[in-house]
Amino acid sequence: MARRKQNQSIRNDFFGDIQSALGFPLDLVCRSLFVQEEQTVQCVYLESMVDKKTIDDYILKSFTKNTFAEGEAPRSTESGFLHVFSFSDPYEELRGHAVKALLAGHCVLTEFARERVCLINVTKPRHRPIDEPKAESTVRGPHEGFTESILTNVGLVRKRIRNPFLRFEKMYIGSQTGTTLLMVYMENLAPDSLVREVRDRLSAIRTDSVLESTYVEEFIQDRITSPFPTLTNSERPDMVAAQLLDGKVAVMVDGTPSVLLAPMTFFEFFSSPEDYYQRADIATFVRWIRLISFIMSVFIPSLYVAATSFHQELIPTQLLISLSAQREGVPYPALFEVLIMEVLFEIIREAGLRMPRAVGQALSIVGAIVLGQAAVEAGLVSAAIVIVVAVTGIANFVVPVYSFGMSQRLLRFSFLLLAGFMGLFGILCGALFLVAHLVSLKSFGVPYMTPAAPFKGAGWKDVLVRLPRPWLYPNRLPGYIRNLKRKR
Amino acid sequence: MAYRYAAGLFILMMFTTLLTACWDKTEMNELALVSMVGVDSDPDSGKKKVYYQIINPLSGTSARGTPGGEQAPVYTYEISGSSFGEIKSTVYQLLPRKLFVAHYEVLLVSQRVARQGIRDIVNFIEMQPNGRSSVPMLIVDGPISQVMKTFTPLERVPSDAIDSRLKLLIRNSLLVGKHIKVNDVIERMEKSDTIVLPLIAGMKESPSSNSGETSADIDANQNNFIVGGGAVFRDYRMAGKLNDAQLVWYHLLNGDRGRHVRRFQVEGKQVSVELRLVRIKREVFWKSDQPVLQIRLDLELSTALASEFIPHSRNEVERLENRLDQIIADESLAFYQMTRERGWDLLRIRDLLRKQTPNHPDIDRAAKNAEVMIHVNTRLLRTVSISQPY
Repeated sequence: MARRKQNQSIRNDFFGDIQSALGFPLDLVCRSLFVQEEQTVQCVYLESMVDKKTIDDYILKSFTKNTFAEGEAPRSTESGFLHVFSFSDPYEELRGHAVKALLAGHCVLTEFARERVCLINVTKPRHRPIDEPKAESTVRGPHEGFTESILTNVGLVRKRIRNPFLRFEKMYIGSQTGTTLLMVYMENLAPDSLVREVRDRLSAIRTDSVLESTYVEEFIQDRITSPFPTLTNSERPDMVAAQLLDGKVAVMVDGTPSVLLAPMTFFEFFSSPEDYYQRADIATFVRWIRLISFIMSVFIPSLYVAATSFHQELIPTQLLISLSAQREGVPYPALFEVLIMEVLFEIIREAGLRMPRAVGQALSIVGAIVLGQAAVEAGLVSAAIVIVVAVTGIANFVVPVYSFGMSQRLLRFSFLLLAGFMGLFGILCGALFLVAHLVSLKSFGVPYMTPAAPFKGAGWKDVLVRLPRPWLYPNRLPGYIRNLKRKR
Repeated sequence: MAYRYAAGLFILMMFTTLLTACWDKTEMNELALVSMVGVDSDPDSGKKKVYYQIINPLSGTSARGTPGGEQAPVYTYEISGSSFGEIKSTVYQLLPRKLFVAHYEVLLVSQRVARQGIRDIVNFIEMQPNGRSSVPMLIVDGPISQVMKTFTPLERVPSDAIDSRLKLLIRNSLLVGKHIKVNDVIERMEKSDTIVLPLIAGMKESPSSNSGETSADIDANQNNFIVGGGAVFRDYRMAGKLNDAQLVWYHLLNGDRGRHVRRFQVEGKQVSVELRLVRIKREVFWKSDQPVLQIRLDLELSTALASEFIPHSRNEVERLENRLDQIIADESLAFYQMTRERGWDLLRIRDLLRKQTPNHPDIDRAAKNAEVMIHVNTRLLRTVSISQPY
């Protein structure tokens, strides 16, 4: 009796209940098949999420041709194509599954004859085509970038690593968004302890939403109060593949092309996948350029302020005369001059990111004029400051990882203020703080300054110098990964 | 915990602003960049007079294209006071910017001060926290104000003009040696040695006070000063002078390696020869309780600058070399005799004896009575390429 009642309510109210659960969305579609005026099948789906051609051609047509019933699909797992529930299951549960499935891009097929509800995955992934990553452009090497679709991203990695040991562990994070998250690693290369650590940290995340990988990064990073990133992110499948082959763990988040990679050490931020696409000597040279750029980007404005405001003795006489001539008539102290220009530069840079492309060019011209000759001629700043800011700005872009560039910007301002208050003494104090902080940092159990502190002689093969690839074998993995594996 | 840490850090940071460094801040356009310092003193009143030559940064090509070409490259401030310390304060009666002496390049001392003694000048420089004693010290032959108020052609800043001249003279002559800095003076005086400092003199009685006139004048010898001759110092006092010819032997016997060209008369023929010291060996041995200083000079010769006589055969070359050996040895010895008569230990025999026999009871006497033997060995290495001069 009860069973008949439930059948009745499914026949009459199921669609209505789903509708009200979803708040009567405009894209909710219900299509029914009638045989001799009796409704045999009801197909409900969210029009914006599904591939209608699949529904028409393979599901609904199969009923008219009577093929769907034959060869019933095996009772599949959660991630499978087909989920089948019986009318006898509790009504609330059935409705819950149906709503959830609809939101995931499934269609809910109610077969009244067989008294069952089938949830069929007919998602049509809506994402842009594979494109070159905007933030990480490359000269030599693949130009493909990840997209917002996690499945495409999985494919891009698989394409590069055709290895059965490549593992993808699926998780859902975000009570509201239910975002799919994949933990990717090479089972034979990644140390168990590292995989366990990443898994634990991911499982411990309690949040309502994950819209980008940074949401995850903030939860799993080692220290919140540090300007330095302990994870890196990349939109390049070749970079992710290379890091996976180094025994690291990647975290893919659905809906974003940025893939997180852990662990990361300080010196690894100066290497780029392109280092391995060109000769070792050139790669080494470029790496040094990046290191020098880092130092320039962080220290040049502060050194300028310290030298011109406190330690004029340090400046060669001719340069001092020239700098002194430039400063004649400039109303502000050197610190404010640099601060004004640096802040202006940051404003123009931020504006350049947000501006529509067409306006962007005009902005860059205006920016160049404001930051250049006009400011000097107006007597607001001295000419040397323009050079200092320009050099620092350019040097900031040399580092291959964008997030590391951001920390350089923060550091630059801190050192600038220290230099403005205390000259070289301030810079020295700041540098000591910085070193102390860097050596205290860890990324997933790996000391951030490895292989410098703790010093590991063998770890230097691919740090300041990139040895030719044949010389890196057989121990091509980074030293700290080898250590973690050995501890197992 | 994190808040506590942050608060602690913030308080610490605030304390750092109390450190002296914060108040040391001086912008560059608040500084008077001193390029040259001149020291004079009136022997009658005992009043000190200091000349500060301040660079005018706007006279050069400035960043904003200020038409600075007509402005004087330097301004000379003349300040008097009872002591050098007092001048540090009274200077601001005239000077509108903070005196910045860390970059001065040359120290000039008037001859009358040099003869009175320069001990207090040296002490004053050494006692300053930003004092700089690695600058050359020159003695002004004549009125110091004339040199301090002379614009120099070509090198617009006079201190640069002096500095580059000294460097060129050290390399291309034996008229100036390397040890002419204030700290060299201190080092030598503390060892009771002698030192020779270059002399500088103005070339015109009433120099022009307009830099525009100087730059428009074709005659570079007008409104200029000349570096020539040397002032002998002993115990912080100027004891006498050396002329240019004597300076050559002084520097040669003290191991300076500048290339010096001099004309010699060899067998009735004039020949200009460029000398360069290759090796010098100074040894002391004792002969019946009297020290004998043996100096061996190995010189490299070149006749590349000769236009009068060029040796053509090996025989002629050997003859020239032998003759020059003799001339140089004789003239050096004559120079030594002259210094000995005046009581100047310019060959620094005393220093040599002290090193060799530190326990000698009377080194001064032994040095004074020392016998000097000079051996010269010259080798003509570079000759001109034309076989038959026109």
